[in-house]
Amino acid sequence: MPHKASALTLRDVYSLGEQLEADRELPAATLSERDHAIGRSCGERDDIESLRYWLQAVATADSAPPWLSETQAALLLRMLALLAGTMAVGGFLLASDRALVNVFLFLLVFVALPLLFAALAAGVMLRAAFGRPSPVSPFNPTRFVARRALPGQAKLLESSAAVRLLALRYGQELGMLFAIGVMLAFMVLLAFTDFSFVWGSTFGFSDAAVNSAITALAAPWSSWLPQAVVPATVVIDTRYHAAQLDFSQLSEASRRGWWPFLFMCLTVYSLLPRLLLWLASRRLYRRELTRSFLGLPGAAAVLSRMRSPVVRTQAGDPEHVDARLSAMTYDGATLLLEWAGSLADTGDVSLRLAKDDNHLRAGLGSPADDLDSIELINRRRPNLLLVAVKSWEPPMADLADVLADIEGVSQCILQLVPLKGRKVSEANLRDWKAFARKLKFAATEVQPLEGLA
Amino acid sequence: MTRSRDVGLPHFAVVGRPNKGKSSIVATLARDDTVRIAARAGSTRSTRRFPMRVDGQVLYELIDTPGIQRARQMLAWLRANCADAAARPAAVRQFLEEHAEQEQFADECHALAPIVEGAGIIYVVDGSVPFGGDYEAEMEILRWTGRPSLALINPIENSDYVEQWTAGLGQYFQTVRSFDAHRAEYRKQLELLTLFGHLDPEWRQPLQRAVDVLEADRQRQHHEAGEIIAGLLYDGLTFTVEQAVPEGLPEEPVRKVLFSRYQRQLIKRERSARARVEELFYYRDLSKSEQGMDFDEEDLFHQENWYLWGLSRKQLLLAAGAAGGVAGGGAGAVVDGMAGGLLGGLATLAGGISGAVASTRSVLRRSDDLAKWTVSGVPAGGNRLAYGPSRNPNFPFVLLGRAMQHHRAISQRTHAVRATLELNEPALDWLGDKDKRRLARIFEDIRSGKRVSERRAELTALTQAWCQEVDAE
Repeated sequence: MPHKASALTLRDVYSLGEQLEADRELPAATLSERDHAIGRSCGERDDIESLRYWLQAVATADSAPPWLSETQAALLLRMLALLAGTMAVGGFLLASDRALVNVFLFLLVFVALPLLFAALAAGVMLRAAFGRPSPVSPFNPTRFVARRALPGQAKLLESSAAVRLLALRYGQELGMLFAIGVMLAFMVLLAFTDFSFVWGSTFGFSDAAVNSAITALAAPWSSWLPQAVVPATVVIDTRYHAAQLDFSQLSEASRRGWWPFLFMCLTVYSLLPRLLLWLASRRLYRRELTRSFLGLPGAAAVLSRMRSPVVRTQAGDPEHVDARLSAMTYDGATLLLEWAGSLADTGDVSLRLAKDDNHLRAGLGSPADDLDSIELINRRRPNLLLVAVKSWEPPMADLADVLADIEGVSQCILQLVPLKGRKVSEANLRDWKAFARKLKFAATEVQPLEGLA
Repeated sequence: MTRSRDVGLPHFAVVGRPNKGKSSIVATLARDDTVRIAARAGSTRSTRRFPMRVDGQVLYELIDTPGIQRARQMLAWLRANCADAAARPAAVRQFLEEHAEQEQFADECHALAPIVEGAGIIYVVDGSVPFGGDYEAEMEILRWTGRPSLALINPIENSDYVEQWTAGLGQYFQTVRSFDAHRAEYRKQLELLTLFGHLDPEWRQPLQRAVDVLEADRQRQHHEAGEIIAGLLYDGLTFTVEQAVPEGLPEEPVRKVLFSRYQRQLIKRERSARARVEELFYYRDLSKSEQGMDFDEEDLFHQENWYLWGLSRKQLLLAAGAAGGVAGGGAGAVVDGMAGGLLGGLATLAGGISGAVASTRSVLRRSDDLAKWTVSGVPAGGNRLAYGPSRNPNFPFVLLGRAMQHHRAISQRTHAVRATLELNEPALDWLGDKDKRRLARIFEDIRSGKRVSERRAELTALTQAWCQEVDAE
């Protein structure tokens, strides 16, 4: 069973969940035997690899692959994200006939909004990492890829945090590619078009306030890349008024003085957060995938069965039921046969049953003693033979043998002697009655011996 | 009658009179509830072997035998045919050979054959009845076999005569133990197996290994049982049945059907979990008596799920918002185009947001009217009736209590017991307040879908720990 080690996927989690669910219908003995056999061929592997090996061994044929695989869908979305970034910035920059670019709007659309989305993604990621994943919105384009990461049509509820993180991972990737598209198109367009970067606002911000804001934004790179910091003179020069129609007096430096700053803003506030989030989501997704895979209900039991020997203590063969019935027989009359010292602790009860001369004993001495008693009974041939037995002991074949040798006695009463201080139990009575039915006497009764102290 | 056995393999013939609990002891040690244990004496008529296999390798074997019934006759024969004490085992063997075909001594031959082949002797007596001299013949015969032996006093009804038996048996057996096959806890069963190993130095190692394997198997049983119980609780907390009822149709009959379906499914789920736990502990055919679960209909019923064209209210609002957003955004895009791009898409953004808000608001206000619309006479909307998940905070505790009680009863029961398993006592008295609070939090989170997989894992760990604790008590 060849097995190529590869990264754990959401498909593995889903397939394992499905298989474990299907296994719920199988008997425990079947599961232990099957899983241990797989475990023995699996050898020494870690938990994840062992489970994947197991899955490969037990899973039925995979469903038909979707018309578009996860990789293909991801590639398509990546290209679209790159294209969307390019087109968005192209449309934005080329929309003005005078090649004017409002810096504030540019920052709002291509820096502030992506940053806001990145912050939202970070929040969602944190929630998912702490086990409270929010559902993926039906309009989220990453659903298109995440859906293809699952086999079949069913939802994998148990790993919803993993699904959420997968969607987030693709989301960051797309956001990153969008930002790259924006930056590439921005640079290409700048090379071919003479844009005038200006700023203006209906809120009447002062030049100083804008300068401070710009300086604050450029703080991360101002020390090591001063070329990408907008000088105060450029801020003042590029202030835009709606009535201003002529920009000819604006120096070349002022008009183009913004682009290094804007480029760095795109890099630091748009691309970098996405990059960091992408790295974080990759890591969290892997962690969540592992946790989900190993934490699926039943996964630990599979590992345990794979690693535990199959133990059987039950009978190897089905029980043989002998058709032969329990062979027990009795008899009695005026003679009393005390079996195995059953009347030893009963005082003078024996005298109530029979005269001392008629009191015979068997079952304690040698078989020869028994034969003596049998011979005596056969000689006297009484009508009734009383046989006193210990009710708490089972009827023995030994006694049956003795009774079987008795001849000429028509009636027998088995006197069940109770254990001191107790009554004869129903179960014992039943046993002895069953025994009595097998005896050859014309009439046999079973009676508990009453009136004992 | 005789079979060749692995040389050196520990095997033990469980012998004694009929109805002294031999089969019960075998059933308990072999964890086999298929052993026929009849109240009627002499129900075992032939030997039955119970090999303990680990991955197919036999570590030891128990042999259930028919009761010895003609000990005195046999002993008389042995005495008559053996004058030399050293030849006693051979005399026993000779007896078996000569009487193998005789119906009269069939039980004795069945019982003694494994011993003559080399099995150790486990002699079983009933500690609730007195010791008697009539037992001495069979004990003497066992001594004649020369095989290592121990005696077990099985107090079937009570322990009144255990001391008497201990003294009596001590004259014939080096080791005498009391072992209640119906009540012996697991640890005691393992101790007994260890003791078997002491009968012969060669048997010690395989018996010790068997004990280790059985201990690990026990841990695995509790572990899996804990997971099964946690799964049952999870399903109980999240289980729901629902049905859409179109506007204008009576809801009462649907409610009835749904409620009965909910109850049936949950009971089925609980029973399947019970069967699984029993299977884990090697019970195959157990009769149980358990009080039914009470379901509060009002606690389970939900009707807030309104729908239209198969969409829930939330889905409908989302769809309406999206449609409004697209329409508004489209209008805004036209304005942006007219402004020559200077607005930077703000009009599109504003138009989209306004469209989405307006559309959502109007659906919210008119949704009830919309539900009454009919398409070709068929209502477009209605109510979605649902039963479950239960909102009663006690419900999962009841489910847990029942499951833990069942687990406890199963794991503490021996395979010799044939009585109906009674599950009617409350079983959460062992749960401390701290654990109850923790459980309540877990149940609440699972119910509301928060940190579900983590909470489920936490619940599983808790139930597994409680299951393991059963043996520690």
